[in-house]
Amino acid sequence: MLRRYKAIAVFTTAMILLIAFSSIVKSWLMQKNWVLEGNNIFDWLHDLGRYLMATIEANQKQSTLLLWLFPVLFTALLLTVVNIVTIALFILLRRWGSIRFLHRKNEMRKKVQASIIEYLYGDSESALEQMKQLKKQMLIEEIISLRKQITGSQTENLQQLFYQLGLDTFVVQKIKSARWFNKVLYIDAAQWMQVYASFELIQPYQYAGNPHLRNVAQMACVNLDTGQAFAFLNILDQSLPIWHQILLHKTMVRSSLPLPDFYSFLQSENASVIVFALNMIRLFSQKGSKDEIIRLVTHHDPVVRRNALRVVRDLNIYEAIPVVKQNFLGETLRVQVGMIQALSLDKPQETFEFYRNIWLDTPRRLQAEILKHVSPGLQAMLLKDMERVQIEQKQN
Amino acid sequence: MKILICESNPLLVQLMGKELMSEQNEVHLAWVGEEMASQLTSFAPDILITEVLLPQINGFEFIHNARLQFPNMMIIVISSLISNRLTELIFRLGADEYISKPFDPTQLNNHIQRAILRKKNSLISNAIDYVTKI
Repeated sequence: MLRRYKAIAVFTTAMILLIAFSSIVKSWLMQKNWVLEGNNIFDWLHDLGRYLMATIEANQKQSTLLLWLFPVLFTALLLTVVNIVTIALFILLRRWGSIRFLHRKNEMRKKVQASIIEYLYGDSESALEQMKQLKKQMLIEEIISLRKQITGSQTENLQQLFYQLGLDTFVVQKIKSARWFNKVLYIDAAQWMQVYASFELIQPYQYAGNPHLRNVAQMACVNLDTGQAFAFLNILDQSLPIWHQILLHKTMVRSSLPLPDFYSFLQSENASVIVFALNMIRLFSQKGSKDEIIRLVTHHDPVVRRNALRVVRDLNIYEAIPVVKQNFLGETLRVQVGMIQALSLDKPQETFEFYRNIWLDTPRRLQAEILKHVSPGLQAMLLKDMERVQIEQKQN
Repeated sequence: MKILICESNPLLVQLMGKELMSEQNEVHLAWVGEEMASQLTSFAPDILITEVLLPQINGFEFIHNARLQFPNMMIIVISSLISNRLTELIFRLGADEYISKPFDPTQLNNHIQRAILRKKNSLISNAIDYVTKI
């Protein structure tokens, strides 16, 4: 109801304004002499308006509505032209400004790069003095971009440069910035340059809502914390995406971090954390409780089950074979493929017997998957048996 | 030796250039896509050091074209690609050596020397094979 009244009120106001506006413009066009007379542009517009109005009045048979609305239409046309010109000017100015800004930024970047090279290969003292005058953010960006690509003695020189310029304290200050992308940039810098003073500040961001910030903070904490580097996995509510898992693994390898006991994360309620722990157990061949892995073969999440089966296969957990066989037929196809690969651990004769027993209850697609994934010897045995069964069926 | 370095990161290119210049090499640097192709043709280097992920141009195509244009040139690829398939593809396109990032720039000269030695040895063994077949 209220909405309807509001609409009526807006419509009525618009109509009143329209009529008022129309009469003002009409009176402006009707007067031969007016306030701003003498100004070339306004005079030209005034004359044009008067000429058009006179033309419409001369052909009165056409439409009285057009005559009545003409002042409004004329002004609207003028305003549209003014608007278009203003917007075009605004766009051009902004574009010109951004090109100039980019040009300046490139010039500055070249200076920064030249100074860094001078520091590494030339007169480091003068290069250092020169760099103190340059923008700190750009210095950090360039130093980090280079640090990510190289190893060896030059990385130590870069780190030394970073600390000599006082960029460590700058980074700690800037992590407090309100903008998430600034936080990401400086947390990443702190991680690469081993700014341990920033650890306390970064820690809360491990559970941030923004996935970019969360991931970079997690990697930084893994890198900077010498004790409980992966403690965040115990508290993490959000999903840990595969890409973040890969990056965490890369960080661990790059920094040669001491491995935590990944078996302790297998009890987690967060399925992505279990998947991460399983992947790490598999990649680092970490030994631990086999029962925990066997329990996960029957986990309610199929992704966890698939990863648990990979661990079974790669870590040769023979004890899981009976559980795999028991649950084989009730599984989804993707998990079944994992199970077929895990069953390669079993003795060929026993696996053959198992497949033979379930063969007739198995859909065609799964039969094809079995033949695709088993060893060539077992494949030959199964094909031979299939031929025999087919012959028997034909004879019957 | 004439060396051309193509890499998207200008700072890294300059760093590699400094490392290689210290060994009396003539080094040219390129970090803009179009510049890379034109420098390759005009400079005709003995060794091309390149990334695969290049700006504006396709790195794989660039390596392939370089190999077709200069069959005897040594091509060293420095990249962060870690996929075995892609590395295999890089060698099939004509690369002689692959260095994965991150790498130690101070060891770049050693890498080049090793690659040259390997190429020489393979040429000699190919020649021996050819002669023994005859």
